[in-house]
Amino acid sequence: MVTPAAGVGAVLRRAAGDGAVRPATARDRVAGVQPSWVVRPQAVEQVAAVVQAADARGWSVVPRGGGGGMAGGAAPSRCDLVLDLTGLDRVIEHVPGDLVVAVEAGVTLAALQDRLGPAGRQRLMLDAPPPPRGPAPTLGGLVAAAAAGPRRHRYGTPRDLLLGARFVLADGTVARTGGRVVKNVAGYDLCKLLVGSRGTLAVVVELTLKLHPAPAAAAMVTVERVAAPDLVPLVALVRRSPAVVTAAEALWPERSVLLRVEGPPRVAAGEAALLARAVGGRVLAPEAGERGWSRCLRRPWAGRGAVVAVAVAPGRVGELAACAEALACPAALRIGLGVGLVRTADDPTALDRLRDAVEAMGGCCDPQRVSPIGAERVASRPPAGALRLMAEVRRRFDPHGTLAPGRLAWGGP
Amino acid sequence: MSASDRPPPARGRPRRTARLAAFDGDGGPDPALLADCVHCGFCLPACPTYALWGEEMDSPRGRITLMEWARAGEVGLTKEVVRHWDSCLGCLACVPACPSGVRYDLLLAAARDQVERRFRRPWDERWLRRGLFAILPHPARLRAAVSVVGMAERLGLMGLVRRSPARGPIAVRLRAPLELLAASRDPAQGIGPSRERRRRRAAAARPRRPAGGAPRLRVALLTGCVQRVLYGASNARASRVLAAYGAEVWVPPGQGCCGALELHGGRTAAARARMRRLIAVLDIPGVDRVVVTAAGCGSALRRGAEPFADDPAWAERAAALAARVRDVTEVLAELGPPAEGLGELRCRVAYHDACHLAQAQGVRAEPRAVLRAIPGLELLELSEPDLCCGSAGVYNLTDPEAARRLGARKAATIAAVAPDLVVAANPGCQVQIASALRAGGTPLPVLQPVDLVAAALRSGGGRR
Repeated sequence: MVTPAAGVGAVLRRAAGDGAVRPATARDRVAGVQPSWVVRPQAVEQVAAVVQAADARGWSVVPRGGGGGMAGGAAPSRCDLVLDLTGLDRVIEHVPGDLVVAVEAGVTLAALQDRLGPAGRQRLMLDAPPPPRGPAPTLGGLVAAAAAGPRRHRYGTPRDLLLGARFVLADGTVARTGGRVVKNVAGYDLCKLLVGSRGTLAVVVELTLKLHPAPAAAAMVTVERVAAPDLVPLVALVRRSPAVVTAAEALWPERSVLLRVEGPPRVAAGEAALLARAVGGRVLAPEAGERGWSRCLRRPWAGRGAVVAVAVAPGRVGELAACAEALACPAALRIGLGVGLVRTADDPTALDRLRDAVEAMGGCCDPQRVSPIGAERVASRPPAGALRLMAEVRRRFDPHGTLAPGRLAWGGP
Repeated sequence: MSASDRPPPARGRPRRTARLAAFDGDGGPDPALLADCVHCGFCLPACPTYALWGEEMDSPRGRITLMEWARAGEVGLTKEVVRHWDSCLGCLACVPACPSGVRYDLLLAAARDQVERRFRRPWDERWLRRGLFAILPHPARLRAAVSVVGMAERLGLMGLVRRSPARGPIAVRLRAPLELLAASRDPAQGIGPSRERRRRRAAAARPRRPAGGAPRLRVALLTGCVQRVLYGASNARASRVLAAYGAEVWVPPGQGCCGALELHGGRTAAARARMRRLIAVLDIPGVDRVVVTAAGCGSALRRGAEPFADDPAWAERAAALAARVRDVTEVLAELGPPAEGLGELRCRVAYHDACHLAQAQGVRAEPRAVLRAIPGLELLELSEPDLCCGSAGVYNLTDPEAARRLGARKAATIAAVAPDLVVAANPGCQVQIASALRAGGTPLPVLQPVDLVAAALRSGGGRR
């Protein structure tokens, strides 16, 4: 005899509402691990209820935004529920005068930019990696992955743009950190801890983000056939120029450097001309400039293989370019910062070679789009002492290992 | 209640991925189809397992309720739930009985697909199923198994097996296939003058058989896998009869199994691969009908596009083939008997409706009409005609006790009309009924309808 116990589905529906629960399909896999259910709550209270129910019963929860990061990265040790946060898609408050916006975590970057554009001519200065196909990246997902694009040269990463957050802890508590002003930290700055945590500490449900005035125009300056050792002197020239550069990208193997200037039309054009003279390059015509910019945004995501974020000291970016050239890896390097994205074959030998080369320069690797096995190979480990501390932090946030256990490729808890 | 009155025990456990949810979102019973069921209970009297055990969960309505609960996460993929689904014969007697038109066939196939992927059966069942699906769809392997059992029979070893004192579940399971194979001798051999055996291989190898006169229809004959081995002679007879009735018969070479057994057992991926291969072989331009002598194969091929829901290219080809598939008796009824007429066959024949012919394909009148056209033949109807004989794919091998009881019940209804022989249009039914009749002490030959038509042709004017 079979009777309907208080089954998993019933528990989840009580927590998140009737229409929010569905069985997971093969498309919902997290780094190859098949979850059982997908829950798509519409409100923060529902997220809290789901997480609390899961924590109490020992079910593991992997939060998901747009889903672009789900295929790669380390395989979770357990994955029972996928918490799809795209249902939290409200823009809570936009204060144009303060240049801040509060949004729910499931708002997509594109939706937010659309919303900000006409209202106050403002913009969130964050470039998302282009999704191969399917849903667009959400702000919660970008924060959890600490994703950033070429504009980080001028505006930084989510770490710099995130002012405050509301998040659900593993026991279902809804907590808040930071606020809606730029100087706002009372106590530890927990925002910084959440950025790049990939859902392993808490489920981020609301974000307060710093905005910038939307530039009316942009101009691109290109320097062709740059030798790797010339990159560092080139950066020095850029810095000495009075132009304010928003992005400085070196695209390898083309060996071309693209510099972007944004602002009112006449300012952008003038600064671009100055910059071109200073670095010995030329200003691109508007269409060619946009093509170059789109290449910067897409490199090296377009194409098959593993995408790895690499970071070295800014003074060694020339060595990084030489290394990408030696390994025949397409790369986009943010030359002002010593960071970049490199694409390589998703096989252990190639990934080992890349990591060894980068670590020999004193740098580190962070897998962005790598198969589960490759991700664990290529990820640089934090120093042993820090790793112990991080494990302790994680234990305090999530004592039962409910949230995305094993999702951190660097051997995080 | 004696031990045999009870359903088999529930065993096994869900796989790790099915820990929290019975079904994943890939396939599984369609909620819209589940919602069609209004739980009226009209299916209960039609269901053989409900007739056996009287348990709600062993009826179509109960199984659908379990699918609803599993879909909603109210029950997991527990051994009890799987046991209730496993006990279903898939005879589909409930489908015509349903006033709401619930597609129980689709629901069961979807649930079984999930079970096969997400449930871990105990080791003995796992190996049994693995073994069965490694032998049955492969004619060469099955032929080897048959000859081994035949040799054992001749050496008198089968008597030992029958008399063996072992009565445990594993002994019963191991004995079932041996008993069934021993009951699968070509039953038509003794009937009418026999020159069959010599022709048998030759006919199977000959790709085309010219029609007796101008061809009225071009047909391709599906040889089947189990059918080819156990009742290959019936295939040869079918092709001769079809030729005599005025069809040009092709036997396309390189036919494999159609995947019906695997489809029935929930091994959807393997079944799909086989179906694709067979569709490619049978997709011959200029062929009007694809003729099937085994009802199980016919019902599987007639499902058409439905197993290829996520594969539009093959769905189209499968649907095109399904439109041309006919049971051999349908084609014979369509063509009508040859001008020279059929010879007399003085015998009383009990007709058994194979579930996959009558319920799944809705073919009831044609075989009867074809048989009634034989002079002297007296066609006898059985009581409980819609009750499954217990064969049901590999059911009589995986669940021999329930199958034995259903077989005995069928044998009793057959014995009640005192026939000279029995006719069934599916090799599974033939084996099962022959074995049940033998166990019941009334051994009778169990034939395909075409066997009798062939015998009538031979004893009459048709001299070929």
